[in-house]
Amino acid sequence: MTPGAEDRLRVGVADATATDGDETIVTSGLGSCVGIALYDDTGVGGLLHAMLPEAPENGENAAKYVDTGVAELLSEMEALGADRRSIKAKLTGGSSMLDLGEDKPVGDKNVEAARRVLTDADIELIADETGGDSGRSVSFDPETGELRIKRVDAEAQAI
Amino acid sequence: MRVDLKSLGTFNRIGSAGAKRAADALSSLTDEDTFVERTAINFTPVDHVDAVLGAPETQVAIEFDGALEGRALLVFDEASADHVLENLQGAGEDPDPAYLHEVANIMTSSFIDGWAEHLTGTIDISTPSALDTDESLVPPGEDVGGSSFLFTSTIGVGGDHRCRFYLVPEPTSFVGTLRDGASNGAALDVDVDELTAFLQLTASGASTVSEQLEMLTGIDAEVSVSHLNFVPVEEVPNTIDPGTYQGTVFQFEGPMEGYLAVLFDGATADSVAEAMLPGGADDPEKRQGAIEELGNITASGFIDGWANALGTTIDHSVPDFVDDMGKALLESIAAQLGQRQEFAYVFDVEITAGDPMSCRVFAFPDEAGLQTTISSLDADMDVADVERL
Repeated sequence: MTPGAEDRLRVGVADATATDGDETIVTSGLGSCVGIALYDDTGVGGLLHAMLPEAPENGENAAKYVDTGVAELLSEMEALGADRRSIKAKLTGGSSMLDLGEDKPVGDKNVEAARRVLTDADIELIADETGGDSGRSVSFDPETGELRIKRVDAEAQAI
Repeated sequence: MRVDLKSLGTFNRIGSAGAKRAADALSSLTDEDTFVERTAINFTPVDHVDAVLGAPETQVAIEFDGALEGRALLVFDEASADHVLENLQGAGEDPDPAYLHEVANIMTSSFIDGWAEHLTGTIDISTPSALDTDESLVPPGEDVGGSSFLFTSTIGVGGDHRCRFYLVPEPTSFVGTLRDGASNGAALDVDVDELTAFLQLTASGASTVSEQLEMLTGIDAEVSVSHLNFVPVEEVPNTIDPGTYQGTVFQFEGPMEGYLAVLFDGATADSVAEAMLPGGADDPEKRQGAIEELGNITASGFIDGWANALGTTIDHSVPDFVDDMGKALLESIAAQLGQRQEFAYVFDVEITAGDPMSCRVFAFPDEAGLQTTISSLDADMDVADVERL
């Protein structure tokens, strides 16, 4: 995570951030990666931009992977005082932008991993907008839990 | 002289950490938010280095020697230089532009610290100076086979402003450093001269492609940048500017496997489609057909060159037409690669003409295939003799 323009936290690829402030968290260029937004009832929230489903042994960057990324984001939120029992999730991304002839598109694998990891962590998935064949830019308001999703060829939508 | 390309992973991490420290130093100096937008290691033909650097703008150069030798360069555009000067703590109102030299000095020291630690030695840095606009960043004769390694970082400051930080290690001693820093485990050992030959072969393919683009569109095109990037897969999307691109993506298979993307920014896609279909570029199907044809020609220009130099065949798929966010497209390719490897070896070619023509070609070979291919090349081959199309 890196601070960007005022009141906006930017999350890069294989990156995550949490906040207890009133900043909006943004990430752009989501292709087959997934964006997982977590938030609780006290206004603590965070966003993960994960690239691959599962970390290998000795994976160095936790936020690159869905499984270790969610665990890291939860720890970061708890350190900020999040109420673990009230944490909820929203999910987006996982598109198949390219016809690369692979058995199962990596976007689908990422979405499946996200659902599994959230279930295992006992976190309710409130809403999702995944798949398709186009890229997304995402903006998340941790206070309200609103996740705004913008595609090149469509109106922005909020979940 | 052989190097282990995997050791570049270690140096990429040192470079990224150094860029972060340099960004933190700039934040302390200006009390502004800073962030590292991108970092990469490039292997670049010397005559392309200055194009990688971009316009001269406001540049401050610093020499360093000791455990690592070479030159660092901090480049601001004018507005960003003014922004940094205006926010420089303790510099008063209307500060002297020479303060930028002090900024460069502190950022370079911060960047270099991690290197000194890793190489367990000291690195001394010179007094900062302005780089003459006609002076090349790579001093004459200081290259390996006509190419040079180049560390590049783009650092954002205060939201909309940015500076670029370059580090050009003295090539011969750096190759020695790379050899000494070889990674544990599976190596990706290549001969530097063969790596250079492969880079020249790819640059020559880029020239052929630009000639064909010019022939097809009538737009005066030239290759402005052609280099090899070593980046962690998650950094791949940062190699393209934000925005929407139209183009084609291919898969290639053979002794070397991977992906090739030919992307035109929005304005360029309009220009080339109009040039190929006078009055008919508004028809989406015809437009897609024209962009796919350009993609096919471009893919063949690169892939046939590699195959012919190796005396083998490399097949490529039918073009997959794309029209979307460039970063999301590259991210999808990177995720595909990331299932098998941590680092991407990206041939990054920029073909430009009179504004607004910009065509980016990215080739992403798999690392095992890249090593086999590089090792199969004759380092002394004349790339001009390699048949294409």
